[in-house]
Amino acid sequence: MDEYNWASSVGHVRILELGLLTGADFSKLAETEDLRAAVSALRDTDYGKQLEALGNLEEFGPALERALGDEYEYVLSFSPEPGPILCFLSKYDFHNLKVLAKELLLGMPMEPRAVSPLSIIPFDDLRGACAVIGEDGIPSLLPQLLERARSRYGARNGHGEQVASFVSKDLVPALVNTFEEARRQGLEEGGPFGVDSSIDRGWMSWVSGYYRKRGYELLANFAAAEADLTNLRIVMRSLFHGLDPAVVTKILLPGGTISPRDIGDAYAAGPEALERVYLCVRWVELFRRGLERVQRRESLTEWEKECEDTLVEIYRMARTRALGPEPVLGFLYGKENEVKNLRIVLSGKQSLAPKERILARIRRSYA
Amino acid sequence: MFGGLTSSIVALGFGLVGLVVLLVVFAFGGMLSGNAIALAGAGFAVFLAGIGSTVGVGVAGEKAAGITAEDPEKFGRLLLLQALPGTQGIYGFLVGFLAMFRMGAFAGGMNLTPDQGWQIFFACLPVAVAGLVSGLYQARVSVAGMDIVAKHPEESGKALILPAMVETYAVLGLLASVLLLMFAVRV
Repeated sequence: MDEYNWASSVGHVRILELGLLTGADFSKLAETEDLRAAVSALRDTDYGKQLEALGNLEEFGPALERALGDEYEYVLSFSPEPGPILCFLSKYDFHNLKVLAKELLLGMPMEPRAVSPLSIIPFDDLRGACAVIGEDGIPSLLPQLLERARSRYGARNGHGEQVASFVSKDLVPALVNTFEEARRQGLEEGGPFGVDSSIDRGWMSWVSGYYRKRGYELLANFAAAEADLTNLRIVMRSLFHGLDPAVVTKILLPGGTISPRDIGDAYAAGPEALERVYLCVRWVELFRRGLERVQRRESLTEWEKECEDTLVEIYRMARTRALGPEPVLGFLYGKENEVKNLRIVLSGKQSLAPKERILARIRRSYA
Repeated sequence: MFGGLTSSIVALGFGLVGLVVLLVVFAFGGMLSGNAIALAGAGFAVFLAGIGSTVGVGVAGEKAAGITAEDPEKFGRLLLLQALPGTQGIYGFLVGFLAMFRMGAFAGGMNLTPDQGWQIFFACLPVAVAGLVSGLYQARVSVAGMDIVAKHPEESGKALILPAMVETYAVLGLLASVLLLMFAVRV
């Protein structure tokens, strides 16, 4: 990995970062009178074009998703190699895999709104591929998968071949393995919970392995922080609800700085043992604050927001890097976070929620 | 630190050490004259300092192009930052020129003993090595300084001062080579 190759992309991103919405922007949006006024305040931002085209303002969700998709395509168009960015985007493929796995393995009806249009492999192609997994049908479907993936994210930048190579050599095998594991887990446990957690584990394990194998150490550290903070939230929720240690160990994500087995063993031994495990990592204070809330039986919502803000802080380290793929991925993460915040504000406005309640839910901005 | 570039520079370093060893072997075997050794020194000064500048200006230019693509008004401020790592190449060329002058290359006749050749060779090394290393590191600081220009154009002055600090060591390399060539080398 040569970080010098990313010089131009980081230059693009530095200017694009100036367009990210700040905490003050979100406060102003939260102060607007209603949904119409909030959408109108977004007119001069990156979202203006998509939101203005809306016939029905209530349909802002897909418009925000389209704006995010445009941003992904644009960033890919100036990136020297698409691998790290596609790996970042693969979360949407794994999300769609969850929707599909529950439909195909458990017979649950599929909710079309749950499907993400941002995946690298279009949902219908993924459905066709998953239907034939285990019957050796993937090789025959691969050319079609590659063609669509190429035209989705490789068309604007001449990365078509690299996108195809990523899909065939990295993404498809990861999806197939994860689907097989989810099938096994779903049959064992017979519920959507097992399928979801199995796919989450498959995704996290693959993403951190991908970054480490290719020498993207800081990106691997970001993924590890994400796994750690997700595990921390799982632990607190489990403590709060008194879940069985055997169940907790099964849903913890791999790829973090503390292994799921160590957390699981400590969970079984009790809060003191858990604190000892977290003492050697930087999340110990967060752990203590969460534990206090659990012991006082207080809601964990605010603390969970603190965990998400901590993750944003970790990604913000990328803003101090002058070269490499980290600033580019940091920006994409910031954009994603921004869309989440916009959803919170706009749906708050839609439901006429008070300003204070909206602001309390908004995550820290990457800007 | 430089990713793939580091490996290339380490490989280049090993190559150069090999070349110097070859020079020594040939010189002691009587296969190289003083003129050839001195010319190798002048070549190293231009070549190594030039590599530092080429990589430095190249990477800084890439970053500047990325910023300019999004905001063309920042071009002027970025140009200065891009040009800074280019000075090492000029220093290397100056020393190479001075070395040739001291060899008598412009006076029509060069007749150096191996000892004199080695003196010129080693006098050229400070600017060669300092130019190579400082060019690469100055590029890193320039590239980071471009982030300041992109986000806070009003602080462009500070962005210029930071890479200028690295320049000090390229200038010291230049001074050492010039002083050695002018006052220490006996031809």
